[in-house]
Amino acid sequence: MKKLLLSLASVALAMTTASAQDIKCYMGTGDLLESGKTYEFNDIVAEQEGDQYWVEMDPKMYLMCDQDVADLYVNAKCTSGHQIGLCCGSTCVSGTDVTKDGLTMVANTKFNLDFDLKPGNYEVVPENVTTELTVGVKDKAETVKSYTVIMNSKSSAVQLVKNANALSYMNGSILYNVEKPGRLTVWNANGQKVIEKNISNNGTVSLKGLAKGIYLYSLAGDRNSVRKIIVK
Amino acid sequence: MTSNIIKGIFGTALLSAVMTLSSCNIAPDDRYVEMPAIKAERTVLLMDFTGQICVNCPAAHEKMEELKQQYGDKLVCVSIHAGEMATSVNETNFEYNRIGLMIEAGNQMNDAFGITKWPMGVVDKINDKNAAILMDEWAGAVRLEIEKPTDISIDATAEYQGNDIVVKTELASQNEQEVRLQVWVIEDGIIATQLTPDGRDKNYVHNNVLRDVKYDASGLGVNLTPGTTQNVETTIACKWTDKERWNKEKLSVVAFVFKGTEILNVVRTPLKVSDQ
Repeated sequence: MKKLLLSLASVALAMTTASAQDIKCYMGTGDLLESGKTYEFNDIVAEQEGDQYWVEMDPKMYLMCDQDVADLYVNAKCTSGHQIGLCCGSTCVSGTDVTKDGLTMVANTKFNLDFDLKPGNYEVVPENVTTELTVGVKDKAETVKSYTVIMNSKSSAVQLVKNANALSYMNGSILYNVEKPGRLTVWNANGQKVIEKNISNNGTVSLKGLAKGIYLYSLAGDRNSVRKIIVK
Repeated sequence: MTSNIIKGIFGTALLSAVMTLSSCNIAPDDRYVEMPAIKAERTVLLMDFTGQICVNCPAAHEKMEELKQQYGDKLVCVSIHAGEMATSVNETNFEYNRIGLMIEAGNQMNDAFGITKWPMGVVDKINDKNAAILMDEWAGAVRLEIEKPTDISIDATAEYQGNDIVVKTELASQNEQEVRLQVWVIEDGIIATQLTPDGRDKNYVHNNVLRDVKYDASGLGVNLTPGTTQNVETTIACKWTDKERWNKEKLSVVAFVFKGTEILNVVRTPLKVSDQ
């Protein structure tokens, strides 16, 4: 009886998986990609943080298939030499040529590729990050699809986010350039306020007359603006 | 295509019939298996190799916290920032609130374990290229390890003295043997960037972060004899530089003994900072 059941099970499995799995790839916008073509992605985040930019280039690509898929692999090869990240499945890998394999897709369910430029701080925002993306089922050449994705900051669509409020110190004065009016405060090392001034747009606040010592200054409500200066 | 659909429907129906028939053979009493209560024979060390730009890593941090809740002080957890998804302490810039958590010793351990994807965990092993396991396997591995008897006991205290962390470790063994001792400093409550599935969190709270390693990979050799307690005193300088600033109120020390690639016991103790 057991042998008969096993035989029937094998036949049944073979029949259900007879048709080739058609894996489709989409951008985060929902646009279906065609294998063999090149696509440009411009929705970049580049947020200035002092002397560098925090950069994220994430097309939010995903896969879909009308069948369950076992043994899926994804290869991302960056031909422009940038470090890319691939976090599909439960782990992340990073490099210029990375592969995740042994992955599983559930029928009709989004499988997020989590493929992007390696996020982080850059002195210069990368341009033309070009990656050859290949997906397929292991040992099933008929399922393989390839796409070229160019993540590009060289576009008017890119929004460079500069620090909303800029404070810096130079030659005995605090220079400011603020989006909204605010209150600039300077404290001495004992925590006493020595200067408090309402500021707007841009200008300078002189520190002449302050005794030698260490001072902190900041813009009210902007935690990132706290700075330390030493008056000699 | 129509014939494929028909084949698929027939095959699925046949498979369902097979599964229904075969499932009828389980006796009612076999459906439920009682899990015996866990008897903790030792304290276990779980290392989580992680990174600040690893979007899957917060899930591993949560898994670690769940296991800590379950096992209490019988489980010592350490987050080791390492590899391609981590940010080095050398990239830290406090003026711009940019804080990296990867130290070189953590990276070396990552390489010693042969880890090339993150997050990965290691349970009670050291210097073993086959030891790293996926997050889904951590619970089972911790359970197996915690029930293993050990012939080594370890205890430690850590005190802040004049900008140094003075660690006093007590070791005892039921058998005569040489073991290796390692001492780490870890810190809780570090607020720094972390990528999550919902985006970048600039105010993520990092816990159990490895901050320093006292001895090299081979540890400190200690000879143990039955009936005798070995005391080892270790001093680690507390760091306050333009790249690393430790909050001494949030520091703990982890001390463990190992033999070959096996960790035999471990202890975590908070840093005692005297009132001034």
